[in-house]
Amino acid sequence: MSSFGLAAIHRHHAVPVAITLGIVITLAACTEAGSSSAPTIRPSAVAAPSQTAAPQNVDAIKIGWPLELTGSLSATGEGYRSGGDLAAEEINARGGIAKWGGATLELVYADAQSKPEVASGELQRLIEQEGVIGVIGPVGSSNAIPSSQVAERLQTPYLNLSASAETFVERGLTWIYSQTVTSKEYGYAYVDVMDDLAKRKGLDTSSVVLVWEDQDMGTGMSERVRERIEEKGYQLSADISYPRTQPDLTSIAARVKEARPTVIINPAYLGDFVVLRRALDQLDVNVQMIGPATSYSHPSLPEKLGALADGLIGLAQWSADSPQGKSVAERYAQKYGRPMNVDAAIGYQGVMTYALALELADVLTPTGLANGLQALDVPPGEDLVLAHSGIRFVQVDNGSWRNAAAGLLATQYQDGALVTIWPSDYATTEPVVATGE
Amino acid sequence: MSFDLFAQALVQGILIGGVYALIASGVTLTLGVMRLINFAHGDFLMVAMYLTMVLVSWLDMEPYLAVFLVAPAMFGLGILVYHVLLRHVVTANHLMQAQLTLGVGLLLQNMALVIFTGDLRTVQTGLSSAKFYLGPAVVGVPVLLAFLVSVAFAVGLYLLLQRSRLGRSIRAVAQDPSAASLYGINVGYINRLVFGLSIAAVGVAGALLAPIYVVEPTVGSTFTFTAFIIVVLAGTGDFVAALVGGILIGLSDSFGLMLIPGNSSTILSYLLFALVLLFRPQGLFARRRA
Repeated sequence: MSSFGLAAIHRHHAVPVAITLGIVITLAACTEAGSSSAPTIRPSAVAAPSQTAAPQNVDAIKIGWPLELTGSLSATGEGYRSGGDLAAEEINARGGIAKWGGATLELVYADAQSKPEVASGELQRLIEQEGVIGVIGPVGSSNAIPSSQVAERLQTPYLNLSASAETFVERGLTWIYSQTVTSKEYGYAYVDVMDDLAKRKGLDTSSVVLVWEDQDMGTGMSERVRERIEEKGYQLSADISYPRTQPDLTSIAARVKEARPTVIINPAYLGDFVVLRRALDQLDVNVQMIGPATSYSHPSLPEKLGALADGLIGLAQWSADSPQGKSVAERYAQKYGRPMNVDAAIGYQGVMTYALALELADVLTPTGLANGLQALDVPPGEDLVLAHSGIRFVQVDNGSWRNAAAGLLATQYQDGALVTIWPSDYATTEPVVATGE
Repeated sequence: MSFDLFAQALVQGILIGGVYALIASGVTLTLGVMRLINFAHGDFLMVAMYLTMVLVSWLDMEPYLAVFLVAPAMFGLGILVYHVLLRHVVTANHLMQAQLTLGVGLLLQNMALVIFTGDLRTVQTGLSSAKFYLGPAVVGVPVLLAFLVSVAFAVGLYLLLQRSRLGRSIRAVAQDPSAASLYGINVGYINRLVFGLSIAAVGVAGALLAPIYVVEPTVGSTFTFTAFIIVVLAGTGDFVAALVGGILIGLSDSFGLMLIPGNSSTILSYLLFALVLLFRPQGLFARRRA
């Protein structure tokens, strides 16, 4: 080996030791806020908000929303807020909350800064100082988990729009209302879309490969995929997990290729999905792929992947061309001058859900609002823009409440345009099935 | 594992390992000559990737031509950062250097976040899906080009150090900075140049990686770890050893992914790292000195 005199440094081992130390420090610093434990909250000296009936003729009813308006999740947070604002504006324009004398719905935002401790602190402040009677949770799961515990302690309804882990509603917290789909609905829908395409469009399902990123999202969804695959009488010809931060996934693509897939189900984030899709293309694997819309139907995908984006099927709670999404998408574009996205649609629905629950509340207190949420049975129609078949909260093991009617639709890139293809009553365009050629 | 899989992992590991080696050669240079630990190394790589993206996506430049702009620009950035910040800690202890460079890394990441937002970006080239078969294994043209240019750049650095007058000065500074300055070598100048060269190396690597990987503000950290693992493996100041180390890590990554499920697949390279630290802390290839 040609060392050329620079190796003089090896007099002692200080360098490797310092490097190891540095790596440990960096790793610790890089660990996402997600892993930080719930902030300790001082034993409450403050009593829970007054449960006595409020005056019946109020001017405004306040809903608190600690949302990520700055920090790493700010783009998503802003999306939610733009949708929420549109909903509040429309509700107030059509006369406010009729049950309470036409009181206006007022959203009180706070910046959760994409940090768990700030989300929790702001949520507490909104309830204790701003007089809100219900809250909508922050976007990020790591912010939603601790802040929902604060809402529980302060006995205020907490509407969850985004934390999709099934464990979120399995913590025995009784003030949580989860409107969103969970990894169960996702996992099932992957298989149901495939099943439908096999029956209607002759999709070849002789070799289904499940390839998933191995963090919470991919792990949770893939578990449900396996369950559904078995239920529907299919078989997986390979079941492969991968780390999402690997710069090169060619080895994973080679394993997928070896299974000679006809369909690939891929719970993935955007970054790993792009890397994997390119690697599969390098190995000439171009079969039907199904994944979550956050990566598979990302608006910039045609720009990122070019022609490789065509045919990809993504599962989403909303799409701009679906029957229930179309009208709100037009109103949104008119107000903001830009196209609506799924974040805005979810934010819109969250505020709408609260407005509908307020119409059913028996008193204007957190408890009254909770009763309204429990009585809610929103059918498909004008007030439901998401791909759910309704909004009906059912209690999980005497604890949290989840929307039993949450559902998904599937979108597909066809010639660079995103269209809704499933289920058939939402579809605007016939699906095109990749043949692997 | 079938032979096809084995061949694919082998080819891919070697090719990507070459790029890792180029990234590590920057670390080995600053560490070997200046004893400077630069934890912002991967973040400079990120800057180079964004620079490439801007040139390719916004100015429509071919990424393999962009190298010729990105590398000098990064060289300049390296010299600037050295002059303003790092020269003050060159003689300080390693922990102080680690703190300052970690800070520089965070600064670069957050600047990228402000300018480009957290959105993930890609660099598309006409060659993105070009490939050919080597027996049963597929060789992607972008990664092959990255490998070839990386090896050429590393060889160029090696020749510069071994065969040129400047290289002799650099080696003199590496061996003994104070003696070198007694012989009329401007140590400050050499240090600045070496740091610039090290950042130019990640400039080249960034321009080559951008079409292969995705570009986002935090993309650098992975590569910082990889580079340091390679340097510990190879020992400092030896480009040929860094190349071998890079390929070893590339291979352990690609075989890890093939054999070990999920996140644990990176265990092979860390295991290698731990074993080398335990049994050959001077590096796999360096001779132990008394």
